[in-house]
Amino acid sequence: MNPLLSVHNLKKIYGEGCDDCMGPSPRPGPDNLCPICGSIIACTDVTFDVYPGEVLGIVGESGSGKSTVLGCINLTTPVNGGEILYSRLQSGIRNILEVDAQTRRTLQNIHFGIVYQNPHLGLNFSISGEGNVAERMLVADSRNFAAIQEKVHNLFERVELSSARFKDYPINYSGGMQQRVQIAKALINAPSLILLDEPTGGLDVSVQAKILDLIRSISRELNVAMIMVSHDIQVIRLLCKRIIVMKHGRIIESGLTDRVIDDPQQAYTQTLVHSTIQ
Amino acid sequence: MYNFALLDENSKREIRRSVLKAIAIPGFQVPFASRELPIFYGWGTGGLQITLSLIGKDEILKVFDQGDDDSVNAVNLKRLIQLTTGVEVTSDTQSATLLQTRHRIPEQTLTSDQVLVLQVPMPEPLRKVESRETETARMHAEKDYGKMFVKLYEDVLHHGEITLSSDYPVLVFDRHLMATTPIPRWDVPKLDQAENLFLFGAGREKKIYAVPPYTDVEPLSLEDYAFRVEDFSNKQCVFCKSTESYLNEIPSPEGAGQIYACSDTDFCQKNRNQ
Repeated sequence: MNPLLSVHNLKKIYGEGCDDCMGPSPRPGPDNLCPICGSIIACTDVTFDVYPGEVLGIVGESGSGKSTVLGCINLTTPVNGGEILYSRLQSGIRNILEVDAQTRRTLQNIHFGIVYQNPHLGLNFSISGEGNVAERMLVADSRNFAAIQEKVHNLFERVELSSARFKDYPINYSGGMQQRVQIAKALINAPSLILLDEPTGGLDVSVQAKILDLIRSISRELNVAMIMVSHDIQVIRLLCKRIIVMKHGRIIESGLTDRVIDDPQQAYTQTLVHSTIQ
Repeated sequence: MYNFALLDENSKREIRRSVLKAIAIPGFQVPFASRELPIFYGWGTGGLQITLSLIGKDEILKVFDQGDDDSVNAVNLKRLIQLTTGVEVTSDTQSATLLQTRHRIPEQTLTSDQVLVLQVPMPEPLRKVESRETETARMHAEKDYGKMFVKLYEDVLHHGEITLSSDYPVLVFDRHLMATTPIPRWDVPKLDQAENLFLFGAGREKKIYAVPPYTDVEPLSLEDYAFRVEDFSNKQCVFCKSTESYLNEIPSPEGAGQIYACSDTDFCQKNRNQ
């Protein structure tokens, strides 16, 4: 099977950068700073594949570069190096870091969907919940109000949003509802890849379980690929077959979830697994 | 005491150059160096600068405001232009060659030898949905007008119809989204495939844009919620009895209720003379 998305040697540096940290395999330091010029190495030498329909997990501590990788794939964060090959564009396999602005918007609006931990990043709070989801169809050139509304309502029922709340503004939704609307927004144009940036962070445990259930059933029913970023290894274990462990902007370990969690090879992964409250 | 038409020749030339560029790219907002004038921004400085830089000695000028030739704003602009050029001034829409307006397009169809200059307070149609200038520039460059349609969707969702009344956004030449200035919806269809040239000037915002003759101008709409103009069915002008013009609603002098009168005073007067 051919990968849906192949990320090769992705690099993102915040700061001036020098020949060493801008080149391949920069010298590691005690943290995510370049030991020579002090620039922040948000991610470097990040290479992985995502296959159609699979859920890939990325774990790591705060500042390890997880969200940076998602931002780079979603083309919202400009990168300093590497390539991201995507196979579902009409023009064949393309490096999406080099496409024109219109193709970039097509990718963001139709091919990818993203769910942020902070709903303020994912939702427009000045329009209704329904308008937020409809927006994705409107930017994808749908112009029929009744047809759009029907599709949005069907999806809202799927994500179990109460029909009395469709027209409400996101500020009046609970945290769980905001995430449901974000998930509906990500799904509306039938994307081939959904990026989940800690979608259940900050939610209480029972709501968290319901949202995770929803994500799991969506990935099974719709066969949509997902990249799930989390610092919570239990969440990752529940959803993902394969995981990547990141630290200081680099991938330090990857493999099948059960293998990595039951038999962690790296010292950091061992700490991560064993520090979870059982 | 003054140069002909108040502005110096180099300023007029710069404005004409921006006008030419605007005509070449229908609906695109061309920046220009808006000059100091003896009237305040917001009183028609954009339109006035276009008029002053285009006007010649043989021009016949009409200036009107909300369809009215005798309103304070129109009269003052007319006096200033006449004082500094000596051109002939008229209220007759048909015989005028250069027309400057605020908030209306005349009822009488303009012809290919006439130019209509509109005074624009807010040239950016996307400002309603996006406050950043860098972002609206990008949206125009990429023809990314989805957000404007979200505004229409929200209108229908909450109110059952599109609530934009004046300054209705239009797509010009199937390329640029354009603000129509606060003309009522009634006047928007007159922009489409018109014989005459429309020039839009925003003095405070320092932008000029244009709709050249015979250009497609399409009001934004959703497939199942079409654009429509104001409804004056069963109403007529109290003076000329017209049922085919844009009507102003006026409180009845007898007390209760409203009466209606033509907004275009020249049109109304001609109807009465017939």
